[in-house]
Amino acid sequence: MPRIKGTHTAMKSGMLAADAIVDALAAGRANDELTSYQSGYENSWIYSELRMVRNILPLVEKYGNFWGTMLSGINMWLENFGVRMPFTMKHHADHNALRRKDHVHKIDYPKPDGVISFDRLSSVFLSNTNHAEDQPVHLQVKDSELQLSSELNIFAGPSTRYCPAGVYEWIEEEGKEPQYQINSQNCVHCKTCDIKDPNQNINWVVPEGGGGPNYPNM
Amino acid sequence: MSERESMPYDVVIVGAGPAGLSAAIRIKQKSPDTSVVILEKGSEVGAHILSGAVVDPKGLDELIPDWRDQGCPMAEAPVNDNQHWILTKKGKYNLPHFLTPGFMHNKGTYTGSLGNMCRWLAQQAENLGVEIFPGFAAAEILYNDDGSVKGVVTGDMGVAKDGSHKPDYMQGMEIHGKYTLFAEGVRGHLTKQLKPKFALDADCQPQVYGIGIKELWDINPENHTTGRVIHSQGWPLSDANGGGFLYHQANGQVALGFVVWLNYSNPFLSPFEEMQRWKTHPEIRKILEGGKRVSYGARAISDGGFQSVPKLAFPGVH
Ligand SMILES: Cc1cc2nc3c(=O)[nH]c(=O)nc-3n(C[C@H](O)[C@H](O)[C@H](O)COP(=O)(O)OP(=O)(O)OC[C@H]3O[C@@H](n4cnc5c(N)ncnc54)[C@H](O)[C@@H]3O)c2cc1C
Ligand code: SF4
Repeated sequence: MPRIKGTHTAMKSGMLAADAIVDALAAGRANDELTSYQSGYENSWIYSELRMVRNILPLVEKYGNFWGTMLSGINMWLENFGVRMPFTMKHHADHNALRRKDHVHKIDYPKPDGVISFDRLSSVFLSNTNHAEDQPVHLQVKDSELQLSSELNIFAGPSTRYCPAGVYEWIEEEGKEPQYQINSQNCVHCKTCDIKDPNQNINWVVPEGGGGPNYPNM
Repeated sequence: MSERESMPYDVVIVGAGPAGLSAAIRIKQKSPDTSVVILEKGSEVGAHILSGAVVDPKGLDELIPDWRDQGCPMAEAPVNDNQHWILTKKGKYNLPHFLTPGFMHNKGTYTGSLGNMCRWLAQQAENLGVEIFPGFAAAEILYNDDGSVKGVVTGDMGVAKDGSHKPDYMQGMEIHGKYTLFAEGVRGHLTKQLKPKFALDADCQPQVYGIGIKELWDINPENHTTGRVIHSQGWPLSDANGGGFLYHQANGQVALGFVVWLNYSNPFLSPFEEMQRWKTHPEIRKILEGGKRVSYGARAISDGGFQSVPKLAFPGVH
């Protein structure tokens, strides 16, 4: 993985915002646009660092994992010497990437051995996730009809697989319409459903304060 | 409904991650009289923080230059060995260093828990007079009549599933700020509402994301080398891009995780199961065997980088 890595850039963007706010408050301003934040950002090392890695992801997307990495390695290697690739490749939104279930192959995963590999539920247990019981569901499905006709019937229910906490289940019983079950109390707040649902039909909102995982040192 | 209570501050910050805490500390360092509050949805600072992490100390150096002497837990494990593996079904080979020069070498970096680093940063912030409210989620954005951001509302407590009020019902509070800083991290729920409103995305590519699933293991001391960090690519992923990491941190622990980019196209793919399968590779299994898994979690990652950084400044907000 390239060293875009976020923590130091997150800290730096926080500090840049702080600088702009302190200046604005000192000038007696409030609630206006902090344009000095944008220019501070463009003049800082975050900008040049992110610019250096800007082609890595699109290259990997286009040429596959291995060769993409090789190419982006070379690309980065060149950029270290100030040689820039002359183009900036385009990104596509993630939720548009899924293909119909009848256009892809199924994937068989091995059963967990309980020693090195585990199932979802024993995993979520170790995240100490807890939400106050009896509260409005914080994973809002805007159109439940669409979830059935598209998420399940066209895309084979990807939420049952991308959710790392086993929150989503399609319960199918003979002679009944499949039911979408949302075990929201297990949600570890990763935000994947909000990103990947093929119809952008799931909206993650904050549950009651204090709910969610309780990571000791993650 | 009764009027909500409101509390005025100079600066309201949503989220006690590295971004929000750094902003709060920097404001107080420069301007001690400015009042700053941080809202954090986790039960305590760090409870919702999940990362690798190999941290470039650039940010800490700038914020608190003597962090190493101030008990910051990140100082415990400097990175001293950096390996990049390409995995095949049964074997591995090392990616030669010259292909991943300077920039990716993790020189001068540290490995440790970002959650613990945030707990330490929160302590520094509180010492400077920052008020931190853990257990309070910012649920809504408040706007002034002119459309600028006025602050946020914390979520109501004690509402039942059907919307009725339970005996412990407590109405949320309005938190007003001259400036409000949204530091919710990847795919923030309020930030998502701001983007279209202030056309923050207008000039940039759509953000693309990954999911990072992480486990923490206590491993057999014989297999542990503090400061060794390993990144892997290749097996078992064939339907998606991504890779694994395995960081030997302090206290005989390894933080290991697997990132799958969310631009995958096969709906039958399971990032969780890819990670579980990855651990069974002989080279990874060798490290974990005899150890014990102690923690688990997941968080989205943004790999968009430069092309996807939305316009940063908008009225009343960062
Ligand atoms: C598996 C994984 C591995 C990673 N590895 C590395 C690495 O090795 N090195 C590195 O530098 N970076 C790494 N990163 C990235 C790094 O963790 C992030 O860039 C960094 O955490 C971003 O900081 P942040 O402050 O913007 O957001 P976050 O760390 O996400 O913090 C946001 C905080 O705000 C709170 N919050 C959010 N919304 C609300 C709300 N509405 N109300 C109240 N509180 C709210 C959250 O609970 C959280 O505490 C990794 C990420 C993942 C997922
Ligand atoms: S946020 Fe993550 S854990 Fe929660 S429901 Fe969505 S995918 Fe599952």
